[in-house]
Formats: sequence, C-alpha cells, structure tokens
Amino acid sequence: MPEVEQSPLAVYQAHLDKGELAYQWSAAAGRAVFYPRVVCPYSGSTALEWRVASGLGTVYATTVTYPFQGDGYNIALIDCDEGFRLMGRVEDIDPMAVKIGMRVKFRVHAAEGDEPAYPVFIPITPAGEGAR
Amino acid sequence: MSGPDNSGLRRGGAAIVGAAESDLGQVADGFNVIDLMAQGITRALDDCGLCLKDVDGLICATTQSRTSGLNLSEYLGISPAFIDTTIIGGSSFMFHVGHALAALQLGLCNVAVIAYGSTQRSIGRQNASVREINPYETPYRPFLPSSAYALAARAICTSSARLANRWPRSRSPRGNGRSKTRPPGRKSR
Repeated sequence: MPEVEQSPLAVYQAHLDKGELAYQWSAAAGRAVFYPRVVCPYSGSTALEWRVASGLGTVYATTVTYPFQGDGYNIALIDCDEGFRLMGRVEDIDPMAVKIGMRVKFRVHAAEGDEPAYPVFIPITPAGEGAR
Repeated sequence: MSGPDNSGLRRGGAAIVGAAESDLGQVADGFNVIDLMAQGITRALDDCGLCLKDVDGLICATTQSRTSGLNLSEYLGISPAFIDTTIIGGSSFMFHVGHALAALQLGLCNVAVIAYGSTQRSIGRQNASVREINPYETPYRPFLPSSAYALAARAICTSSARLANRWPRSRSPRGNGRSKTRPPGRKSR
C-alpha cells in the first residue's frame, strides 16, 4: 500500500466538487502553498495541511487571449486573501474590463464531460455581493 | 554563467570557434529536427575548419525527439564522450554553453557542439510538441508561452500603451519568414 493514499490533485479536486477552493498550509514556513504538492517549496517540509479558502481575492495580473474563432477570453492571476496565487478566469464581465487590483470572489465552474470542475472568479461589487 | 564562486571554472577557459544556422523558416519537405541539427552542426564545423571526427561533446535540445542526444549521435556517426540534453525552455542554450565550458575544462571532451532544431514552422504548433495538461492552468486555455509573458508583463506595466511605447517592434535579424502580426493561434496547450 502506498504511504500517501490520495494525490494532492485528488484532494483538491474533491474539495472543488463540493464547491470549495482548497489550498495547503505549511506550518513550517508559516505560509500558504499553491498549487497543491507533496512538499512545501519554502521549507522542504512534507507536513502540509489542507485548508479551505474564503474565496475572496484580488486580480494580480490579467490578459485576454483571442482564438482563431470565437471571442477573446480572460486569463487572470488571482491573489487569494489567504496568501496564495492561482490562475483563473474572471467571468460575468467584459474580459477587457478586468483590471489589476479588482476584488473578486471564487465560484466553481462545474465539471463538463471529461473536464473536471475548476475555479473561476466573479467581480465583487462595492456592496460585497458577487456581481451577476 | 552565474553559479557558486568556488566552481573552479575559468572565465575565458574555452572559446566559441564556429557558429552557423540550419535552413530556416519553411524548410524543404520532410526535414526533421535531427536533419536540421546535423545541417547546423556541419555548417558550424565548416565555419571553423573542424570536422565531425573532432566532435566528442554533443549538446542539444528539442521538444520533438525523445532521445535527441542519442539520435543525433547515431545520425552523425559519432560516439561522444559527453552528451547533455538539458531542456529548460529558451534559456536551455545558455546552460548548454555553461555545461560545455565545464565539460571542456574538466577534460570530459575537447570539442563540444551545441545544436537546436525545430520544424514547428512546417508542421504547426500542435504537432511540434506533446500537449502537456496542467490541471491548474489548462482549463483557462492559456496560449503558451505568450499568455504567461502577458501576465508577467501586465504585472509590471499596467497599460497596453505603456507596453507599446516601451518595446519597439521587434525585428529578427534573420526572420523565419513569418509575419509578426499574424493572428494568435487557435488552441492553447
């Protein structure tokens, strides 16, 4: 039997399937780790604890990619409030209107066919509600 | 090359004596990456008056050959004492020069050649390298490496206008025959 029974990706994906954005916490380094892995890149510790993020974050960088066919789409890097950064897409807004520093909130892009669920983000209005 | 100060490598302890290019752009039908590397190597050797028999160090990188060092050695009919196929993206060849310097100074080889070949222009982006799925990035369909550069640049220069002013139109000294303004590719990888 293997020493580690679930891969980092499997745990992460299981959380997403429950509507949660999970990340790892390294007590040794005192900071969040993302993407999920088997060893902390800051300390070398293998004692990584799973935590669920609040889902709140800030756009760190944004770009729009134009395929040959179809509309341009957003790709963004999001700094989550817990101190980790991940790639994502900001939805419910013109891709070009996504700005660095914009506050966003996580939601799940549901699994479709062979494609597993993955996190996307929507802008937060000043009132604190997700803009729909 | 940056590295530990006590590496023992002597700056200037080796020299680049020959350099050349393979055919570029849309090459003749059927050329593969090893053909192109061999062409470049032959021309580089001509450039300095050496021949294949002199080569005992072989260094190369390509995404299109699983065992490029072995394949290229066989193709050229040589059995190099030193082979290195480090692949770390565009900076592979800087590392190759460093590794060649180290190998030469340690006496692992006497003549090292460094080669690169790609037929991406001929066979297309989709066919030039194996598609790698990254579960944390692939769903967002980044067009790599361009999207990554865009995200990195956006974090530094916050407007397209500033980017445009900062970086004048790039011009390759020996173009690959491709328009610099063609629309972006269809699919990300």
